[in-house]
Amino acid sequence: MKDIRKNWLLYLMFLPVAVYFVVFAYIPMGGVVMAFESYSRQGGMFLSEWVGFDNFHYFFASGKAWLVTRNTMVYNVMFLGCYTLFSIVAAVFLSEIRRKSFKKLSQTLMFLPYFISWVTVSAFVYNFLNYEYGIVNKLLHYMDVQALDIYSNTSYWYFLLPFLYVWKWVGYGSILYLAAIVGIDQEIYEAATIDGATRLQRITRITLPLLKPTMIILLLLGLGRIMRGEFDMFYQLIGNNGLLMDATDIIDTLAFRSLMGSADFGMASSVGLYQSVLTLIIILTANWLVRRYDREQALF
Amino acid sequence: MRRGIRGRLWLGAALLCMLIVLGLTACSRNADKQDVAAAGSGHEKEVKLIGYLIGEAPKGMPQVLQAINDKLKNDINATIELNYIGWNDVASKYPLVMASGQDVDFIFAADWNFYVTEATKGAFYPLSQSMLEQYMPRHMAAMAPEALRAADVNGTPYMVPTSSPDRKVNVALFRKDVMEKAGMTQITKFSEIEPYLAEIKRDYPGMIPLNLDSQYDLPTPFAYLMLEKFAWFTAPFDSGDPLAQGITADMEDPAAVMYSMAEEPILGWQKEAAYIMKDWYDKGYINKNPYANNIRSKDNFCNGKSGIAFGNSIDMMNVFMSCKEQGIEVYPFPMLYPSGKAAESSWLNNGVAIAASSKNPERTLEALDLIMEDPSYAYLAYYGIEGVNYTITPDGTVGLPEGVTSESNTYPPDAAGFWFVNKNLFKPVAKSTESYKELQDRIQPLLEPTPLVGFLFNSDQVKSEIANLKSVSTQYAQPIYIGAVSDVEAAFDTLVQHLKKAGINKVKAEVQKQAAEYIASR
Repeated sequence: MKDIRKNWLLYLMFLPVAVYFVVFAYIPMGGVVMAFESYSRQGGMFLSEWVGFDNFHYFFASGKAWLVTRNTMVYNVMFLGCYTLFSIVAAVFLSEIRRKSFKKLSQTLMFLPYFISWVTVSAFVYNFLNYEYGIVNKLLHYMDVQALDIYSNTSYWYFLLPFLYVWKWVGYGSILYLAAIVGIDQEIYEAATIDGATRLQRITRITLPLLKPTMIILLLLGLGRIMRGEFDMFYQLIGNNGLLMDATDIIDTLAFRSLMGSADFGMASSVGLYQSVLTLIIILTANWLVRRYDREQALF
Repeated sequence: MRRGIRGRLWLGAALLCMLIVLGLTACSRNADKQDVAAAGSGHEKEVKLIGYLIGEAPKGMPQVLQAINDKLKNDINATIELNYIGWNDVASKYPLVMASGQDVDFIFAADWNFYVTEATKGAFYPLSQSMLEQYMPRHMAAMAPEALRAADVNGTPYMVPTSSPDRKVNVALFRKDVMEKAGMTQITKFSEIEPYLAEIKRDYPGMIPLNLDSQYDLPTPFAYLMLEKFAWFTAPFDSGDPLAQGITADMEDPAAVMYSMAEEPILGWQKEAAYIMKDWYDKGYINKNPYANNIRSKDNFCNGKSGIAFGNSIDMMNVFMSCKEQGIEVYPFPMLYPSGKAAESSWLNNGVAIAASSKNPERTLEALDLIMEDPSYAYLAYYGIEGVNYTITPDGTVGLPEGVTSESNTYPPDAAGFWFVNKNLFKPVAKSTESYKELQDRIQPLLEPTPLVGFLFNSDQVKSEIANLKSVSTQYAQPIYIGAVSDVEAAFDTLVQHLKKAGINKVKAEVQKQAAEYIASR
């Protein structure tokens, strides 16, 4: 109690966050029971018939459980890696730009894709890449090169998906890292300059090592989303394209596709629960690894 | 200290939960009370009814709705508010609207649009003969009694079927100018249209012979090819999804023997169709990316981007007229069974249901009674405002007012989604084209009743199998439908293997059981 009275302002500032999480993260957890029920409108969330693990049957009987789990993880690891790498590179470059107007301009341009929804992006991409009218194929046609059938070949998408992901998110990520760079004590750089360190040396010896704590925290937070596929992106870009599906199907799209017609809450929440359990395991493992390596950097 | 905070939190959480529970029970109690109150009273209290229809609101909707509401306010002290569920996301949004508990009073319902699924889930308000007689007297007088019986799900009707079931067939439109150049005078079989496709590929740059969209058109050419083999329903009985593989039967077979599409003879017929589609796809007659294309071929036909338009004889009426206005002559090719007949639409092809959550089911029924059966309402809902969107010509037909073309009409007939109104009330349409009239005259005698047409499959017992069949079909069957596979045999091997794993045989047993019960009950 004394603690609350003493730091009441801090607690007050914490309150909205606490309320947010209680309302949007803790209370909805009650819905987990639906994963074990055959949901009916009369029974509602808590009084529907209890069916145990029947709802999970559909997901594992699809024969694709392992494939989509793997795809979800592989894509997200790839996304997280590319995103972190390019965000840091962009942040370092931005911080080294001296001319203010150019710096602002490039930052704005990089940030812009963040505001474009995947629905719009998918329309761009379709108009760029489709076989008959796509800009890319029109250009290839003028250069007398064979047209590319991008929407029926998985190989292009292994590059396109991470590329689009980075294109959309790098502006946002670079700002996080740029903020960390701005927070680094300028005197360190001045001292290094006086000692004759080149620009490259200042980056590799000062900036990057000092970015590590930020990077680890952001990576750990990113890992928390690793089983949650970027549903918007996959659904809008690939949709129901069966030709690409083995390479691009993730848990979220598989669940959405099979369940959207039936709107069966029980089966849908069983998939959600499966994702959450895997995520929990991944976060605990990652945090444990970080803690073993460096206690200070771990989240908890 | 820490324990103290935690204690507080618990207390807070407990309070919150109690509040929520209290709120929920209070709501449901309120609803009960209102139900009771509304049943006894007349129209003293003004109500707003919220309706959902399929498609997109035409531009002239606000004016038309205003006119309808003025009349409704006068007659039964109610107004309606309309929302639309777009064609592209019917499959996801329709169940969602019903499940979300948002305010819905009435919603479009049809056997092809999740009627049984939603009815068994308890999404619709249970109706009864006596209730309908009380609140929809005009409609009950106009509708055939078997229509209501056809709507029974577990003994209770959950929808109000239209009193004028459509007499329509699916139809493909070809361009006469292309046919002439390709040296064709008529089309008797869909599998023999290759010269037509080749002609477009050769001489019409910018036009794709088969420019398919991701929903409606994608399985349609394949379906036309299948229909040369047997009287196919064009969608399996289990999921009712034309894009999915499942259980089917010869629609003309009186015994209604069920086949899974993964077994002979259906499988062999599928393969034959698939070889033709692959041939066409490889020759570049089909757009490479139907999955990402949202524009139906019928909307791309008159502007010269698609060589063939797919639709049905009612929703294509506008295409006939638009093409004529642009000087394109069309050749219709109806989708018929090998016997040369086509199935009559079921009673439940168009209708409307009351949402279980509706607070004013009685008033909603009264409003619908007026809209469906009172000519002044029905004309408004279906054709729009007289003098603006349509006009009655001196010779007693429905035509367009002067200066309005079917392209510029802000409220085209049939477009607003009021498909369940009694169309027998309307005068014949004046300005349909010659070829449309010919088509109508030709198909009307071909429509026949089929043994399974009213069969409604209840998927409760096999829902996870059906979810998986759909998912497998999306990945392995859809590329086959458009011909985008490198090896037809191998593609079918994979498909069949996955269908079996997904439990197609279990679904077959369930469909067989229910179909036998249905046939016996008739």
